[in-house]
Amino acid sequence: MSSMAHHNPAAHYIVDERIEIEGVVTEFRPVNPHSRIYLDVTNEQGEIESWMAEGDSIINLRRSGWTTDQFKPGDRVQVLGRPSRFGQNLIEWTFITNSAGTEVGGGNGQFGERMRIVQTRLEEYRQHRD
Amino acid sequence: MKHTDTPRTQNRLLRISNFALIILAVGFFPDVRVVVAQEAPPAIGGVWSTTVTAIEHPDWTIEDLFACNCTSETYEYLRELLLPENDNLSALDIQAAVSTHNREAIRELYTETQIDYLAVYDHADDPSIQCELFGVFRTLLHNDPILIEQTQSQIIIRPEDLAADRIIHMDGRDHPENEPFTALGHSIGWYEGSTLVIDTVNIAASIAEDGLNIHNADNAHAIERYTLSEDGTRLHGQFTLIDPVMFREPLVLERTRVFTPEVNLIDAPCESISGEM
Repeated sequence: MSSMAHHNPAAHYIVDERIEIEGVVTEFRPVNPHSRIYLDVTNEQGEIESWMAEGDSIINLRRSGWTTDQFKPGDRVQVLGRPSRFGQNLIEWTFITNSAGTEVGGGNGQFGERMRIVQTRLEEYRQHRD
Repeated sequence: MKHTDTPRTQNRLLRISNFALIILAVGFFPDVRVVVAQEAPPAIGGVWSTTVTAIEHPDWTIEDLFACNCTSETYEYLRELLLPENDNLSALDIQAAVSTHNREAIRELYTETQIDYLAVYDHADDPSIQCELFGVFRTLLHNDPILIEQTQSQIIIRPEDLAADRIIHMDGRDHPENEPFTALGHSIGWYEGSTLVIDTVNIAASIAEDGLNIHNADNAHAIERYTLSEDGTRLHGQFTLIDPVMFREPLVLERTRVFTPEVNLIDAPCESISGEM
């Protein structure tokens, strides 16, 4: 679920499926309506394929702490997300993990963080409700 | 359009009839002192945010944290989910249930035209993917923060991103006649106590909200009511879309924003997305 996206992800992606890719960043484009990360991914045959990962707007990403140089060429990342509905090398990211193994929050990935905050508030509400 | 049909005119007539009642009352009871105070408009200038921007803000109620652009029936359902008998539900369960309920409540209002339209609509055709600005209903329902600039003669609502700047005329004018339909339509506004009412007509066909899968036809009519809380920290929005082509009855959605002077609106470039590399 991507509650913050500006457009319905069904425009370009299969919303109920997830894939994971790992690659090396070639370019990060911090723009609206959706930011993009271009990366080289080595496939099972050892060939390098060009992929594009698409996520939230740079406005929302900046609010969650991202910078316009969040990813630099050469950075290695893992991307979990929705695959292209047209079979292209595209992915709408849900989670991005950097080379240090740290999950990079923000954007569509904020959903998990947000739900943790709401769950905490819900438990406090239930404790003080009666 | 007849001017006498407009909510603005109806409101004016209501005020005139109230005034007439006061005159009659004074006539019958000359000892009664009538004090007519000029009410100050609610101070709604500033930046207002939804939970998407300010999830950790202390002024949110538990209902707000699950709120969407929801129908009143959905809010009633949410209140049921927050009762003790549903304490087995997680926050994720509640949010999913609310979202599903809201979509179904909205779907029940679809006309056959809306159903037929959605059957062939492809989200890839969303013009905002090509950086085209949102229409008025999508703008007012959008998640991002808004800056309200309030003067005596007009209100300007500045949103972020692809949502469009709006001008609301507060100088007593009526809507123009025989104007073409536009994405933002023509907006006039007035105050009713602590509530700002905005009436917008001549709205062109557009995506009214892509996440909720609602579209409006040409000549749609929107009524917004923004009510300021007593302490000035919360702005409750009620949004009515009147579009008999797409909805069997007016669609009414609600959502609250909180005052967030610490939030700055961010300007950022838009690059169109083709769905290709």
